[in-house]
Amino acid sequence: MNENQCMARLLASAVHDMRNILAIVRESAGLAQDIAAFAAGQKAAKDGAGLSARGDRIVASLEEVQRAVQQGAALSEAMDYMAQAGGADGRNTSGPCDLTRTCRSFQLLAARQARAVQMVLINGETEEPVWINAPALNVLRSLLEVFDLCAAVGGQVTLRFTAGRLHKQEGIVVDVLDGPNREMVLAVLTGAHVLSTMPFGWKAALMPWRDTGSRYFLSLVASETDNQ
Amino acid sequence: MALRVLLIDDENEFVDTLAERLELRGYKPSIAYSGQAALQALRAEKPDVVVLDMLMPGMSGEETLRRLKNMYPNLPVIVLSGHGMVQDDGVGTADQAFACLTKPLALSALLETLAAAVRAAAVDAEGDTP
Repeated sequence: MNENQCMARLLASAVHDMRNILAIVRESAGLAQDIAAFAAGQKAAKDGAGLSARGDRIVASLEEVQRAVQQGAALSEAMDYMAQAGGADGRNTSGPCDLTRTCRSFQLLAARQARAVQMVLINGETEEPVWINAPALNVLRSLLEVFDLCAAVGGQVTLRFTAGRLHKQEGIVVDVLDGPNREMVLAVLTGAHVLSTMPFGWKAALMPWRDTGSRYFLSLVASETDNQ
Repeated sequence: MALRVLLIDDENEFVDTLAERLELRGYKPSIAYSGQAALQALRAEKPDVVVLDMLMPGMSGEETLRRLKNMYPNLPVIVLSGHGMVQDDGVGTADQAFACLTKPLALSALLETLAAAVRAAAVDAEGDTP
């Protein structure tokens, strides 16, 4: 068992428990909502009025709990994906991987770090999965490096990651959208070209997309030479 | 007639609450906290549909599903698990289950799946009639 598999297995175990906890919270809040709705129905039948202000507040709080559970479920899904990518089930992790799902997972997993540097990460949905013959962990790593490049020059920008193809090669389209620091981010991404943190045997490159000025294509290919 | 749903899950708090919510909606739920208890319950009474967790102490969900299908091949089983890779677990769980769902799940989604499972079982039963 290597380090990735160790972390992946423990993460998968924790995610499973997290989902059970979220399920208990969801059902308990749901039961409270059921009871509140029943009480409101009884009250309406009795005096024609709905719940009191305090009753309405309880209902709103329970709805907030349900929304939080939904967010937690989405985050658990992304964590589970990362655990599988790391070999939690002892499966082959060398690829292929679905870039659409990888982008979506990255956006969820990195959201907290993004908020810390006033960045917003958006996942550009695609109609169909886009498969790349590469390990999902390497794709996540390359996305994190793009994120770090932007954060290093001050963040404050919105990035959109969309799985796509350029010249029949699968990769990720990175759009730099709005934000007060957009020009700095464009400058650093334009100068990045080859990303430096990929493991031996892999090369990730960030190329400007034709002449749009704010769009880049992140490609990931196996390479027999060192990425440096 | 109320739909009989057997809930098999070792997470007591979750399954107790889910049963209460189903009951409020006119279902007739019963609970088994283990695979072994589920098989005993199934010998006593056949439900209309089963909701089954996968990772349980003692008899696993996979083993429970296999034995349950031996007893009642046409009984629809909905897998509801915290494990996200049930669809692709390599032991054919997805082939035997009517649906594989991941916790936490909106009750409305579970109700829709329960209804679909019972409809599908009814169609199967009609097909079996000579």
